[in-house]
Amino acid sequence: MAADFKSHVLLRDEKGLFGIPFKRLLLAGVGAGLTYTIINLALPGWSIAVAVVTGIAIIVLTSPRGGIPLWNRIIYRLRGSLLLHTVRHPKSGMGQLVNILDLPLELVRLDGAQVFSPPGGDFEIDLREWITFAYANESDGLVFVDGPLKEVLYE
Amino acid sequence: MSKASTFLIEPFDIMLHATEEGVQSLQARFSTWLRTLNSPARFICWQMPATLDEKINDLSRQAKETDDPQRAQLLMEYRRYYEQLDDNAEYQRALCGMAVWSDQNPRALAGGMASSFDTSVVEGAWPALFEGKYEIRDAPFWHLAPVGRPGGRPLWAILNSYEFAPSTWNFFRPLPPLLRLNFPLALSIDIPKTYERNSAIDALEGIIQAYEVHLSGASGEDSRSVQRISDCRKALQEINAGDALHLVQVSIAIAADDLDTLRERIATVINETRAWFSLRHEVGELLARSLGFFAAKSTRQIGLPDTTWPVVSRELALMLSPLGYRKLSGTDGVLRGEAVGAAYPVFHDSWRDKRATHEIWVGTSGFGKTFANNCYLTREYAENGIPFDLLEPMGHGKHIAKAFGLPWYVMSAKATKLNPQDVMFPTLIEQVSHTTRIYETVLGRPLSGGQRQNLERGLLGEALEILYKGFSQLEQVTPEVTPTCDVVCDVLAGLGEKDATRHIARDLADEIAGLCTGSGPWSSFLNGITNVDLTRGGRDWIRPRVFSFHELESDPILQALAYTQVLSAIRRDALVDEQPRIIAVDEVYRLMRHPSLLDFLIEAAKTFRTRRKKLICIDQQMSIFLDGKARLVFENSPIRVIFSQRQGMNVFHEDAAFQHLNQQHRDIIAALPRFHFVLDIQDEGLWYARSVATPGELARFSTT
Repeated sequence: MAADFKSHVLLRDEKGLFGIPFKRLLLAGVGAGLTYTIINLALPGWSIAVAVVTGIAIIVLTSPRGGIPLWNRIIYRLRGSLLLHTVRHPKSGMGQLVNILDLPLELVRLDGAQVFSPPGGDFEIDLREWITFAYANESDGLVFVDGPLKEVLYE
Repeated sequence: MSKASTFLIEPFDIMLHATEEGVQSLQARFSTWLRTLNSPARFICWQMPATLDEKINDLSRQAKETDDPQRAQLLMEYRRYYEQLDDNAEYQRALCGMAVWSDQNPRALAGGMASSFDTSVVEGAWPALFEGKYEIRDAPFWHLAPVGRPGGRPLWAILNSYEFAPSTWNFFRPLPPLLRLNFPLALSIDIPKTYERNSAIDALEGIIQAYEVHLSGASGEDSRSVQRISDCRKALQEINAGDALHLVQVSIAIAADDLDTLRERIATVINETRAWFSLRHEVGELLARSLGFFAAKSTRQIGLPDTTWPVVSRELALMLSPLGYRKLSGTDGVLRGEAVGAAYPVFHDSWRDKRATHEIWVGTSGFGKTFANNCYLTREYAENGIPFDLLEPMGHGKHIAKAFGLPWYVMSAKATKLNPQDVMFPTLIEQVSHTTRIYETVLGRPLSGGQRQNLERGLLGEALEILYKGFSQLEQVTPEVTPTCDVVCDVLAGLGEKDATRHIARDLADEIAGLCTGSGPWSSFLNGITNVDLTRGGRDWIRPRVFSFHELESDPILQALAYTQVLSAIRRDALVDEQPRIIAVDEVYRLMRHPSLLDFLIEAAKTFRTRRKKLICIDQQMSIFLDGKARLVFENSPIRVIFSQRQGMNVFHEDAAFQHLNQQHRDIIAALPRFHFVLDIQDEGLWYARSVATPGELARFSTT
């Protein structure tokens, strides 16, 4: 009558440090390294600090929030805010940005009749509705003709 | 992507499966359907708080409209009772749906689901989560709010699952407690993917291999990896045993009238489910997209980040547990009882269409049949204005007669006379056949089957025809002028063209006269003018009537004859109009054990059906309705009310009519406590209910 739910059997969790998986630490390390290399060219004095901040930021932003990386969640939230702002102020700069980015504005105002409309499409033929004609020459029934119909070519 | 087909599923009552074996079998049946799933699917349960307001208003309206002060008083009494019920309880209304993205014929899919879930499944459009226009709002937290005037439309928030804890699920936790929260919510179980068996096995074996490689090189303890390998192996084992591997996501839409309540409800739901799965409150674009989980929109089109969880079929089966929580259905009809476990009132309207409404009530003595029947008759009379005729052999009819201020017809061997020749049928052939049946019962032998018996039947019929033909029309034969038994015997004695037939006629006349006339055992009961008013008397509407047969108890034949004549009179009146009426016959076995009277009962059941009359046959054992011709009465009765059947369980195991009952149902029937019953309505469902009574009903009928 019961079932013991299992862990995510299709996912490989990796060990890490301080509860942070290695892949995220690796990404943070690579990100920090790249930032250091680039910043070091322009602002050598700030490069270490910026690299550390970048590394920490990558660790924080890749941390899962509700099963989604934080950066992804922030983007969805931002997109939502952007859409809302556009609906309220369509002619603002944000509105122009939404148009350029082609964001789905229809998601802000939702019509129940549309969102929850039943699936349409081709309805299959209900066999009970087939009509049996008593005589072949009834309307819509079989019609016998004297000879084969000629094809008409339209130009 | 295949076209989505949406289905509506009627929830059933899990209390009818609430044993270890019962829920195991339920899980197995659900799993079997899920194993065959090879396309995306979605299960939804909508739940809305419900009240008895509609019923209460209806009763108030009727109380104002009725001219009958007694009915008005009863209606107000019921109104008070429903108000009390409403105040003390929090009812909900629930509906379940399934969407399947498949190329299969939707009717075939519905049929498959109906047989697996053992409940009614119809192809139909899903209800909308909300009506009108809504917009997403970000302050003070993300939610959906109605555009323009709310007009009673609530605010909505959506939560999606992202992580499942290693915990135990069953049909009672964790989803049913969510459905007990008394606020509007919808629960969606999205199944975007079901792995093909080999791909599932490959995927799991890949994970095991990867972890094993990792563990072989790891020096320290890695309990998570060890556990993951164990989980994968268990999943593999279950898949090899026939399960499928599905990806699943749970979504919950919560409604509230104001933001504070909505925030509180979100927190309640998250906390309630925390031990089993984690939920995230959707924000921004995700909130708007998530609405798709409550419509027939494919998961791909919804386009949410993937936070599904892999589960095998036997686990996923438990996520369909809301199917087992039937809530308050419509309030049409009369109260039949209170659902055991869920404690919601069960209403049923058996008059809503013209199909058969006959009922069979069975149950051991002392388990509440009579009490429940009295309550039922009172409710139908009060709420629908449907009068009744109660035929009972114990004398308890006086309580209901007293409650309604009705004349109490007590059939007595000394004081009552019921002339067998009273006209009960419109045609001569039927009337002669009916009277012959009564004489067969008196004689204790059939007047057919042999040469002599056939001659006897012919002669008796001829005598009756001679007497009835003395009147120009059968309808004119009132009880005062109806020929009596001694007249029949006199005429019969003079019939016959040959000596042999004259001899037979005389013998039969002597035999009947010896029993029904003079000092014969039944002469005081049968020989004379009927002194009970069973006629319609030109009335448009006949008040409820109560007939008691307890003073005939010493003679079963008298009792059977009395039942037959009273039922015949009721049947005769039933042919006149199509006004609904209930004819309740208690201890119907007394009538059924006489073959000729059983034929009459079968015929009456068919006639009643066509004239909107409900026949309620009440007895102790179901088995008596299943043997021989009595089965025709059973088959004409789509509603079965089953009280305790400890001594007669074999029929529920063996008879094909009860193949829809499972072992748990049979166990419940075998162990039904007092005042508990199983209400089995053909093509509608099965309810495990408890008799409930208003204080007024208790006061009137508690002695029964």
